[in-house]
Amino acid sequence: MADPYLRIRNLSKRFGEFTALDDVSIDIHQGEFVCFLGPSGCGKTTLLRAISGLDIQTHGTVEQNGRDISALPPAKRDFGIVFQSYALFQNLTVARNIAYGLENRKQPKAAIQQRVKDLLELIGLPDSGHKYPSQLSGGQQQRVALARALAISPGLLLLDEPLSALDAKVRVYLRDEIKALQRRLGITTIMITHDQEEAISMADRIVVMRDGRIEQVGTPLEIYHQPASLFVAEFIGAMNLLPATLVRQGEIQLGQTRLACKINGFAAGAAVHAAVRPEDVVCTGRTNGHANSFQAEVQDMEFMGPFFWLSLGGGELGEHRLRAQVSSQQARELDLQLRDAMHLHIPAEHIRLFPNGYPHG
Amino acid sequence: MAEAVTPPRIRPHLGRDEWLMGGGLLVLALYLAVTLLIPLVIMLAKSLEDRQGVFVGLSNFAQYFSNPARSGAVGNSLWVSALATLIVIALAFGYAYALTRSCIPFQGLFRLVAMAPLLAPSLLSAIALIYLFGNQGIFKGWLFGESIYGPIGIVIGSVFWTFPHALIILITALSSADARLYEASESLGATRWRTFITVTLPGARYGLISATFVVFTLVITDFGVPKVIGGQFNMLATDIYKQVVGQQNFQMGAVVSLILLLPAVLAFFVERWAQTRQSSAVSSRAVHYQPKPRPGRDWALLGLVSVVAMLILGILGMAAFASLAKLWPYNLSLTLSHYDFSNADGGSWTSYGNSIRLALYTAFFGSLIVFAGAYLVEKSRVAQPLRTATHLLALIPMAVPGMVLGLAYIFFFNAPGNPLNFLYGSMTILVLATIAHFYTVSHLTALTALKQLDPEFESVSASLKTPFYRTFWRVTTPMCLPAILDIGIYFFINAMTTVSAVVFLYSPDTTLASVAVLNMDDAGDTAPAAAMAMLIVLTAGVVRLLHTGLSHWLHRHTQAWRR
Amino acid sequence: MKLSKLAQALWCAAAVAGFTTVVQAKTELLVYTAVEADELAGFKQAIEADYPDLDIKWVRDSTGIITAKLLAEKANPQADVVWGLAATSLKFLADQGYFQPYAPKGVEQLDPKYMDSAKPPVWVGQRAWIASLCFNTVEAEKLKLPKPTTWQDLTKPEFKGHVVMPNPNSSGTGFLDVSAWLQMWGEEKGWKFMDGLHQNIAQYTHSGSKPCKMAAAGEIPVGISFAYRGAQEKTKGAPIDVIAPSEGVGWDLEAFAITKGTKNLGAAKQLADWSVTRKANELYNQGYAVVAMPGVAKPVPNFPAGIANLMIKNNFEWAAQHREAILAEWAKRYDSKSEPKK
Repeated sequence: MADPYLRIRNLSKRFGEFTALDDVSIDIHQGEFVCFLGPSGCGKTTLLRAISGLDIQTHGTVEQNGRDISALPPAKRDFGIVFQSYALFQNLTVARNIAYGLENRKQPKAAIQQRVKDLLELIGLPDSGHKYPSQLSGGQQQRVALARALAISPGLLLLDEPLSALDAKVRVYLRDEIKALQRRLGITTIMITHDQEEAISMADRIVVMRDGRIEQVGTPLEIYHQPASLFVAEFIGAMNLLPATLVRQGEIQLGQTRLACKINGFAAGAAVHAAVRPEDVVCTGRTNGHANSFQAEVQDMEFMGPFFWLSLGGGELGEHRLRAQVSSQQARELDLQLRDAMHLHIPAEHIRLFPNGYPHG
Repeated sequence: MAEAVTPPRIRPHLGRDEWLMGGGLLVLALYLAVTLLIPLVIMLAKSLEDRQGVFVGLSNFAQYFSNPARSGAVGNSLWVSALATLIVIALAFGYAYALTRSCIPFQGLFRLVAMAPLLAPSLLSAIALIYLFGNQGIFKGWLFGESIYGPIGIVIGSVFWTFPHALIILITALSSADARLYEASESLGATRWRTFITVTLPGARYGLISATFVVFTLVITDFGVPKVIGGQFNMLATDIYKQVVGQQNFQMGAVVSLILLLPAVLAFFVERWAQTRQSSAVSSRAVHYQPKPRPGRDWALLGLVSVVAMLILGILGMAAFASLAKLWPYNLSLTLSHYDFSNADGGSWTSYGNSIRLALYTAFFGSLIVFAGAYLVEKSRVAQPLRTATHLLALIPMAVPGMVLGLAYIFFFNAPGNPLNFLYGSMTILVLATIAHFYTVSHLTALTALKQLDPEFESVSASLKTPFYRTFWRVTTPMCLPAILDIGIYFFINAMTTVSAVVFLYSPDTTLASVAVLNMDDAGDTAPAAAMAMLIVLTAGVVRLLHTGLSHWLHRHTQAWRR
Repeated sequence: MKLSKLAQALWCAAAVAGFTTVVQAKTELLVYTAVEADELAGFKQAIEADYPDLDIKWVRDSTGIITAKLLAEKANPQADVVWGLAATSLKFLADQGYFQPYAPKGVEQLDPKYMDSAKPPVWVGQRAWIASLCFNTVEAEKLKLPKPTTWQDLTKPEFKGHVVMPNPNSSGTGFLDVSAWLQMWGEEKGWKFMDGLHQNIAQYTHSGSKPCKMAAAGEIPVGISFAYRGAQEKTKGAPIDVIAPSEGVGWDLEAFAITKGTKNLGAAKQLADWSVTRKANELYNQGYAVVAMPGVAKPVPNFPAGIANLMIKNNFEWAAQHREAILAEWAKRYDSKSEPKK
């Protein structure tokens, strides 16, 4: 594999006694779209600001394209940045905003004009060059901010929660657009977000962060299906976390039932959390037909359109509660009713075990 | 596994921007140190010396407090300032309430009238009060035999000139109300009084605290009003005058200055605290409150506002009359002869011209320094300790009586061996002193404007490899132009009216109109004093109008990008 | 071509500037003074007429401000000459070594009691500035007040609340009154008089001319002030009488001294020489009835008649030595009064 485009090693940032970033190392490859994901205060913004040089880390190194930029001021680095607030210059027209980074480079006027024109077309606002930012919608303003960042053809694009200030619909639309643009330009991109859906839908790889540390790095699929920690399991997507006991390697006791599972590494008799995605719970109907299944009562049903949320409990589950996602079609086929006793099957490979103990300790 | 080795600490390299910002901050810090901190320290250190300059510890303080005549001034200053503050806040709250929460007519006019005292030297109100309520005053009877010379006069005079200061703060506080709270209160069936108590007052509470302390600080550090109308009523500010000017006892003057600093500093920090709370109290989703007509309330408020406005106009009108009456009170025929200053003490059209020059220089350089300084404090990425220190330095002047600053300037700038000695006696030193004297409010105005800009402009600019000064010039400055104009006019008007700091610093070539007012009044040339004061009022008024016009023009021409 | 034209223009400008400097080769003399502003223009004109090389630059302010400024500048004096400042203030500064002793040409023609006793004198008096009462006849009529002729009259009950005097802590005039009463009557009787007077005082003002101005404006019937101010007001048309109380009146001198280390010593001496001439004394006499040169003074309109004979024998040395103690005692007795009299 080629050398990483961005190589981050042992990055730490302290504000007095508080450690905002704790020994973070990560490689980002040329053309990759990476999301830093985590709750507020997890250190993702600190990491981004260290990469940009806006707030330089206390310890550790950053290499971009083989160049050590650890201690360089932002102006000596090679990146474009887009903020949640757009940070457009209100008193300059859209065209002047986009041209802002070019005007300082002693390029011929005509070249600048052409570049601005191209960029306006790229972001789908070819006729808005003469307008002021305040005359545009939020989504349009964010696209202008993107064009301004791209104008200087940076090697690295940094997006600081670029969609958070927008309406839900615009957000989804712009999400796809940014992703398509990134693919087209092939520019290495880091986006920070606290919205896991956004991260999953856009990123090539996701870096999940918590308390200044990296919890997991992986593709969206890896993060979703093989969460490395209880925290990641809970933070990404919906997840049932059921207290269970490991009876022997490959089998857990959950309520009154025993279920086979694939993940080992715990001593027999250990108390664990069994993590199961709601969509991995298979409702097999009123008769038992599978191995690795158990019986429980439908205690609540919530119609969501294409699917139902089921809340299951009692029966062999005992005190435990399990949420399951059942498609509307299957629910119709099974004639699912409240208080029905149902047989439920969980494939062994979809049960993941984590040490007992609440993740937000 | 081996222990992780802590990698070496990163020492950020500084780019051109960082060097320039850091250098700028350093220059600003040096500027404030030279024009403010060092002179003040030299001056205040005298409180620990005897007249021969020998260190005597706190014995001057002991001496001060052992003399009941002196220490009584502390109590006097406190209660007079408190009373004046109470009255100003009550009146200004009613006035601001009428302008923001009722449907009274002529709101623009009433607002204009209420701001008029800002244009006048604080002496003007005192002169007018003597003509109104003095022993020969038209309304002498209204005081029921009490004398205007003393606490009554000080309180009324102080109320007059501090009223607009309180009003500005309270209008801001009241106009940021959230209409949704009122709807909620109404839908819960609360009475109007209950709504007022539970919604209006809490909503404005930080504004009220802020206004209270601003007024208190202004009154307790002012020396113009108590000097002219205070009679022998002892206040701290006049006590400094007595010590320094009457007895040339700088040491005791420094003692009093330090004592005067305490309540002012306290007031100042409480005010700052309240200010930060006020701004965060209003959420960005607040819905603007639109008052609906309600005759009972509106008529009552119209009454209050009219009375206050009449009083303000009355005082200004009386001052105008004082400047025109031939020989008060024996010959009341009108004459313009008092405007011929050739015979009056120190006053002349030259002084007036000097004052205009001082005001222009101060407005220009003051807004330049203050705005660039506030920008560096608020927006630069480097030298955090220096930024904090500079900011704190900028907050000092509000609590420093001008006379203390003026004397401090003599001690510092006239010291033999000071390379800045050449400034002494020049127009420059007057400009420096005036900028320093009025630095705080200007600095805070600039900061407020800068805080409203997107905090990431500088980051974007750096990422686009554009030097920060280019962004400062092309984006920050145009966007803050209204605030810069406000700072300019603030400096202009104060430079026209200020006395206390510059009275020790002017030279034969730089005599000033405001000092002439003081001197003429001192010598008893009340009519020419009033005339010169009116001239200042008129000039400041004209400049204010120009400023309003310019602001309107600016607003219209930048409408495209301001929402 | 253009450049050379510019250079030419610059040369011209420089030449003109140089020429002007030659023409203006006058010595600028920075003179600190407390003389009333309306007289200064006349003095400047007269001085420069006799010494065309001098260019007098006045820094004029009240006695207190000027003295404070001089003292604050002690480390690096700016003034070349202090001129027309209270002798008490000059003495105070002289004791700190502020001045350069100099005997102006012709100083021997002046009355020795009006100058410093050292030889050569550190300071030389110009004219006396004498305490007086300003009495508003119109207001007095309204209040049925008798015309006071002595200091003691002012302690009578009918004057309660009708007298204003300057606070000696902030006014030189106030101090010369207090000093005179103590010198005339001795400590005990002097303070007793002031105790009585205090009962009648409506207000202590900050400045010495203010009481007379207040009397002139009818704010108060009786103002304890000084004769020059009273005469000026009366001449302007104020309905006042200027009275010199018969027990004797305090006085101070307007005097001058040359700052030690002045860069313009020659010019400063010229001004000093001029200041003791007959012509100067005649000018002094235009406003003040008592001047340093004997035999010059002519009566000044509206000055109290015979005021020169009522001037007490003033011991400047004693006054300077006891100043601080007197002021402290005065403040203790009268200044603590926080409410003005009704």
